[in-house]
Amino acid sequence: MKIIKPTICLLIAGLFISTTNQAIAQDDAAPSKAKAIMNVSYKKTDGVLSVKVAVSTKVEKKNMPVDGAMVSIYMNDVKPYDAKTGEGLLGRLAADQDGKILFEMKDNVKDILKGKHGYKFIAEMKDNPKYFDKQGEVEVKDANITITVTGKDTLQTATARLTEFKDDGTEAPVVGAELKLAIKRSFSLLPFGGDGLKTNENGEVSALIPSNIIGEAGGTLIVVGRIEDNESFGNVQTSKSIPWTILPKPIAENKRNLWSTGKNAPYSLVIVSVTIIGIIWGLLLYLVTFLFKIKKLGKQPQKK
Amino acid sequence: MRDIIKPKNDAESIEMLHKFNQDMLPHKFGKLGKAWVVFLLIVIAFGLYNYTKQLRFGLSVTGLGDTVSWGIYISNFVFFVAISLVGSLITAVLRLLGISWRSPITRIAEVIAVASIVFAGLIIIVDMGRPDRLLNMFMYGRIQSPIVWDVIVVMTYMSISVLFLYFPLLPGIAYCRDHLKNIPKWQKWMYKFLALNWQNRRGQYELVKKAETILAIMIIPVALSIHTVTSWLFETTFRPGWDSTNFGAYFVSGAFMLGAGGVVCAMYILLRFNPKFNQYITFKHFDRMGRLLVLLSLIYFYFTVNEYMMPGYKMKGDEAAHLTELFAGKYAFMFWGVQIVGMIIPICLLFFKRFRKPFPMFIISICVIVGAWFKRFLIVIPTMLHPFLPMQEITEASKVYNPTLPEWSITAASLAGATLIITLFVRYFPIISIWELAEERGVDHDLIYEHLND
Repeated sequence: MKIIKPTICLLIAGLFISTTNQAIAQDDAAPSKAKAIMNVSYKKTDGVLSVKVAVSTKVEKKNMPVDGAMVSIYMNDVKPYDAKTGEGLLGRLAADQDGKILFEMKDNVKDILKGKHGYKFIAEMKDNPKYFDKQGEVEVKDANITITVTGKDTLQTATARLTEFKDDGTEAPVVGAELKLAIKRSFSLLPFGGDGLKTNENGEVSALIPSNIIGEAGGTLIVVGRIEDNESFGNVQTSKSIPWTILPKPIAENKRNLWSTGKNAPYSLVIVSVTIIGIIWGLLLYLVTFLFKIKKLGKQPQKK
Repeated sequence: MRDIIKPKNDAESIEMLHKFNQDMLPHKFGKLGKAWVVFLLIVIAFGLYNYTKQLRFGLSVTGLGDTVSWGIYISNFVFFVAISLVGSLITAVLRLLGISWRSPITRIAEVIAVASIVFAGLIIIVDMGRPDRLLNMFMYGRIQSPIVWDVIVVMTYMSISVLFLYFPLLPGIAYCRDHLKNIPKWQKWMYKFLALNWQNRRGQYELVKKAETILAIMIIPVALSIHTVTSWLFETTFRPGWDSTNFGAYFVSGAFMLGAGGVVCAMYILLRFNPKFNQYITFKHFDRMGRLLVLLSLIYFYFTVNEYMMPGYKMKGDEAAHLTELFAGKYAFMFWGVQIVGMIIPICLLFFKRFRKPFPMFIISICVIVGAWFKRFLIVIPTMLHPFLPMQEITEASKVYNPTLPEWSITAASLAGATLIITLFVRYFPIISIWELAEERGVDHDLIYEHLND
């Protein structure tokens, strides 16, 4: 053991040093700032425009989110807001714990967007004590997706049409763009119609809605048309609710089922499991008392 | 290696007890033993370093993702749970069947069981990514969930295994307390604390024996349920390869086979590094363990055929893609390697007596253990890569699973950790139960009570 002891100490010390050397290095370099990475994207969902900014930094070759970074969003130019042109600073937000900011343009900026069919959004992180100043931008043209559904009951065809806005304000079909069809589910979108659907000369794609899909509780199904990361239009998504006859079975929230919450577990399961666990752990505790008895017996004088 | 000698009279019995005591006293490690401990510590240290990385950056340092969310951590967990079943097999099943030759190997089996189940519990926490959320399991867990059942049964089995190891160890600890000289203070204190005032009193032995009987009966259903519940974690998940009613029996039979392999491996290593043990762990023990291993392997073979043959015959729907990948695809080499090297060859060889000798048995047990680890890999990962829902709109990287260096190092550290527990146990405690061995050799109980601690 004489050799092992110093070896163990050295190992523990080595482990401690290796895990803490980065922190030490960071302390030494405290006055200097780190480089930030900024990703700006644009999304139009059911007519509502939003700008999404993701701020991260590299730590040991891995992207780590920059939590709490203050980012300003500008339109067209980095300058104070100009009420006449609607350009300049739109707002200033802090990144969440994932380093993300979602700037939604609802009623607050409705007037600014009026009459515009092309946008340039600039995101800027400035005067951050930990990171160098960083800018990112996204420039898109305004596009629109409309959805029509034809057919009856569960045999229905969804058609999505992608149009762009010309300078004069008129809409023109976008030909050859990848336009996806999907059905809205609880946590994500379920695509249908196959991969790589492209718009025809009318700017349209069509596909039969899967007939076995279960709709929303209210007797509807939400059909979604969307383009993603399009060079000209960014992310555009439109959804349409249609009547649907295949409905989910109502969940009896207060009934005791295997799929209910923990509080509503079936009585039979609770009774059986608690009984089994009680018996086994009861016996284990009984055996633990043996240890005390053994100790007590050892203290008593030996009988001759 | 000698045959078992039985005492003819009291004088021989007492002499035998003294000899057992001397032979079983733990000794300091030689250079090789120390180097082995250092090696294990290095592996553990590297794993811990990578675990600190995982704590800082999350599971992004692993190869896990949305598709394969259970990787080698979970296959390693299943491996640990499986090997831990050996405690119930050797100590409980063989005990209740009245098989006397088990005495010298019971403690080896119990130590393997305790070390494995401890690391089974730890590796699950490692897989969680956010260990602080473990508390949520106890605060908000649903009794309907197999994950909750698994947590309960792992904790229960761990407690039973620790008690099953501890009760019969008490006389051995007391002997170390009274007879080991020139040892550090902490070691003396440890023996004194753990010996619980053991004085070889009849009443103390009676309590130990009673506890052993209760534990032997308790541990069998709990051991069966721990691995059955582990199989249910998979079985209750609707995926190709896991949607099987055969899984519980398949997992339990595989676990017994692996556990027996683990004990054989430990028996050989003990003999190799402590030649005195060849009077206690004899050819007979290897022969019997060989027979037991071949029996368990045949049972496992039967369930394996059931598990793959019928789905392979039908090749229905989504199962077909999964099975094709196992039989003839990306995992075919590993799959057939595991079946042939880890099961079929051991079965064929162990039928012959010449292969039921220490060294061939050691090699065969290594094949069984390594094969069993990769078998767990094959149960978990290929199925994760074949979800029922189509893998749409995900990156190509998410469609494959390649364990990263941190994953391998943490997994290796867990294996090294379990091995270190066994190694340190051999270093500080008698690895063969002296009084149980004496009983097996026919030494009278009264003599044991009176002279065990002489």
